Amino acid sequence: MKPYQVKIARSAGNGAPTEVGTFEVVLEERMTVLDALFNIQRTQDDSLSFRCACRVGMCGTCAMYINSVPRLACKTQVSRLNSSTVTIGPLPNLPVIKDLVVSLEPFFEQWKKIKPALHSPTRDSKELACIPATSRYARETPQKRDCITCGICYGACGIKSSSAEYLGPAAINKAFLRLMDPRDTATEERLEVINNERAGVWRCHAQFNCTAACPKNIDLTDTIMRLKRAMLFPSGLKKA
Amino acid sequence: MPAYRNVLWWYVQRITGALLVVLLTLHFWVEHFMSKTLMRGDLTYAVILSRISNPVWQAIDIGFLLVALVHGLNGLRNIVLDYSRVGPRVAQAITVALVAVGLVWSWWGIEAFSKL
Amino acid sequence: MPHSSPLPIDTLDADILIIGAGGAGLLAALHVHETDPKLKIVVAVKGLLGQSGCTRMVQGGYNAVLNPSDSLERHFTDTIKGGAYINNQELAWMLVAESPKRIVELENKAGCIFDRNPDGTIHQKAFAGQSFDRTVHKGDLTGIEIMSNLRDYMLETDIRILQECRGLDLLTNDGKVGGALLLNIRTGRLSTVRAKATLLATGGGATMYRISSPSLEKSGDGMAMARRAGAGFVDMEMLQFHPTGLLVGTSVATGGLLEEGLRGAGAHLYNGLGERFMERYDPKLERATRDVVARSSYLEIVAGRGSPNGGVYIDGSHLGEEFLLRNFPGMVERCADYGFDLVHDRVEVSPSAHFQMGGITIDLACRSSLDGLFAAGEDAGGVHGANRLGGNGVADSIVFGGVAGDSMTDYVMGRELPTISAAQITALSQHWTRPLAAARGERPFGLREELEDVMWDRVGVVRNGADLESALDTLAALRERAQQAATAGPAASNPAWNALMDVLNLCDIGQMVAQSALVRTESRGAHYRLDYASPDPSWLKNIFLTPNDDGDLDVHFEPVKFTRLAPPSSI
Ligand SMILES: Cc1cc2nc3c(=O)[nH]c(=O)nc-3n(C[C@H](O)[C@H](O)[C@H](O)COP(=O)(O)OP(=O)(O)OC[C@H]3O[C@@H](n4cnc5c(N)ncnc54)[C@H](O)[C@@H]3O)c2cc1C
Ligand code: SF4
Ligand code: FES
Repeated sequence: MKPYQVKIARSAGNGAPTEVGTFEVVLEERMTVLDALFNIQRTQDDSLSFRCACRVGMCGTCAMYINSVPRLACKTQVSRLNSSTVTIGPLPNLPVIKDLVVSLEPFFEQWKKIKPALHSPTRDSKELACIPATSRYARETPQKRDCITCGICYGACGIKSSSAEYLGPAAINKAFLRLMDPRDTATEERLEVINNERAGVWRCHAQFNCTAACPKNIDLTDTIMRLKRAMLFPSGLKKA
Repeated sequence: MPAYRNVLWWYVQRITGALLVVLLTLHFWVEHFMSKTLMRGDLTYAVILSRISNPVWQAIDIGFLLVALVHGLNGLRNIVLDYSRVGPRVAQAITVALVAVGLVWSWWGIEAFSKL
Repeated sequence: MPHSSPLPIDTLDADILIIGAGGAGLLAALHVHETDPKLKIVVAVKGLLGQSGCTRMVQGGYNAVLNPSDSLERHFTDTIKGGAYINNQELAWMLVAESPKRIVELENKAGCIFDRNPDGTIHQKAFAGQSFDRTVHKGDLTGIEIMSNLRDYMLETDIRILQECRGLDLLTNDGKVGGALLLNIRTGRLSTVRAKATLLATGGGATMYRISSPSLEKSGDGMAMARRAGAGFVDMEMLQFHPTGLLVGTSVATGGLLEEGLRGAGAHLYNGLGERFMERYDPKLERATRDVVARSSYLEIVAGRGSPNGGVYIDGSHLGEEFLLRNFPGMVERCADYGFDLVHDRVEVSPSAHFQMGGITIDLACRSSLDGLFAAGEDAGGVHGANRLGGNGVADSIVFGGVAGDSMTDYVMGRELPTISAAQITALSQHWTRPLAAARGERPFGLREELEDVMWDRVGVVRNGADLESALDTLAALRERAQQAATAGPAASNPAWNALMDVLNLCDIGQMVAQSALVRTESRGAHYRLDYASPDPSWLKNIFLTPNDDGDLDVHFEPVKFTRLAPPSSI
């Protein structure tokens, strides 16, 4: 058991935070930032709003700004922050609904632009596609497919902080996955979106903030660089 | 291929960047260390004139100028594009202005050689 | 529609209203949309689309017969044996027969790709209680693949998704369901959705236990709504405990799972005295079925032979670092997140309330006993009998979600929008908003803890008649107190108010679990009673609960119909 001081950005009604609430909590050794928030909500201030569902790093809803780094609250053990003060704010680059709850609408608006669904002429087929475990898709995408749409990369991205149009790393990663998907044929449409001068991959300056922050260790910068290179020879994307 | 104009500019930016490393190093070496007269401290206009009348040096200098202009101005344009607050119309205008600046400066630099 | 409500009420009309967006809810939406894209579908989800519920949390995978050497009969037999012969056999057959087709839909229509063999066919892994390796998966994070792709499918349709919008109660008229009253958790606005068909797909309420695995927002809302509307239920006593939930003190991470595959791969269980206690309970040791392992661990713990934090230890260290990192990277990482070392050390675990086999009674078209109301996935009962096989849960929601979608598409054809009662809407909205204006009263968080304790201690892994009776009294008292609780404040983003609604719903279904458990005087599958410790062949029956007008439950039983497979005489 250890005492901590927790400073949380608070909204006065709804909307962006206007003040900082300071709370003292005593936490068990293994507790996470999410536990600290529940502790405060249950014993000190039950209006404190934050999001979570799975509490084991799978749903991607508990992303927030913890001691100046965007992270998942449920996967951040407080003792590992090496500080007796924990400062928590909402995820940057997204509008705040209340306290630590942000609207993910801008994130998903970008996500929708790259056509995340499968566009395949074999959608009504009763057979499964043959995708050998040795194919490029099977070898190169598994980790990139673990994205939990937590929005952390979007919040960490330096370009996102100045550009509303930029697709952001996660959406580009999704586009990459569909472009690599051996069944998918909407290649031209997607390339057009990610080739856009103001919104597409060209805005990425390889700051690596997204890659460093992604809780699923997805190498987003690698994805973006691959797409930039692929733009010369798009047909190479689907080569087995 | 208009669709991939962006990727060409992206490569151009990388290539000019790499060239700048070489050209800048060369430039420093030539201007500050290469010439014996310069090291002795009695550099004269005539010495420089003789160098820059050499067509090979002229080509290198003009190349350097163009590479630096392309890289710098395209870099500026990229910074502009990173900011949503600069709307598409303004960005377009800035692009035109940057191209104009580039043309004028290129002309200016190249034209200087004709006066030698 | 003149009515006085404390909050503004928006109104929306739809052909089909789907409450809940796990595998069941989204498959239903997909099926309706694929058959008739013109039908107006509204999906209300308590959390975020694709990022809530238990389907998202599926690690192990999805059972389907795809290999020519496997057969539907074998999968069926495994399912019925696993369910201790009280499954509804026609529903179970539908599960195994439709499941392979749904894998094709998940891939070709929704865009998932599951792990492959070198020859390009689907890779299937081994799971406990099955006679063939038939579990389809994507690494050890299968649910993310399924839910993310289903979400992406939805995003490119015009299906109306109401996120962070919880169903409060069903709208009924003359015993017919015509939509629901919803609350937008973020804006605090109420809305009524009037619909020709309504589907409950909100998942179960295992979260009413002190240690539980499901996602935190789930609180059996669908079943509670169905109960209040008068729908019938089956085998509510059947609630599965997963043997290896993490113990992380009082952290909310407690109950989060270490997947079953670990035991399958040869991990050992030890009690606090360092004994490999499964030797005392089952010759299959740690590889015994979920119910046996969970119960054995529990008995060790209550006998005082548990670990310091009231659990037992799982030990996989002898399997070797390389093996664990290759096969269970997600589990190793999960342990590390809380400072445990699965590779070199023993990790404290406990049985964790996991899944409700019991639920709303449905027929082969997912129709409930109420006209206009459908149920699918964990909300519905009967498919799994007394115990669910690992890998049959997500198959259930994907299969029956699709079935519900098809049958609702047929049902709404040529029907008019139902009439709904303004008086009912007013009464319901006043009822639900009362705590916002209550100046004095208990807070909900303490009530929730008491509820979880009662359920864990007296309606838990090991039950007995006296405890169940006292639990029923306590639950009734808790419900009474919850009715008086206060959560004054704004309607928008009010965590306490929402927590109170969860408690009320969990009380409603906790009571059904306890009551049904009291009725079943035998031990079968997940239901174990110390006072009736063995299975009783005369109990090859299903227990049906029907809410009556006083809000109480009428109980009746029916012998199981062995339409496809009769039990061996010893069971
Ligand atoms: C940790 C874990 C691991 C599991 N692993 C496996 C496995 O490997 N294999 C397997 O077969 N099964 C597994 N299961 C079981 C399986 O996940 C479930 O059986 C299945 O996913 C249930 O699907 P569902 O659609 O019925 O409900 P869920 O997927 O739980 O979805 C419920 C949805 O309803 C929403 N909701 C809840 N209340 C309301 C309300 N009032 N109004 C509106 N929306 C509401 C929720 O937010 C959620 O979106 C696992 C379960 C857990 C918890
Ligand atoms: S790529 Fe990583 S950081 Fe970005 S949304 Fe996906 S999981 Fe989150
Ligand atoms: S609560 Fe699901 S990722 Fe943190």
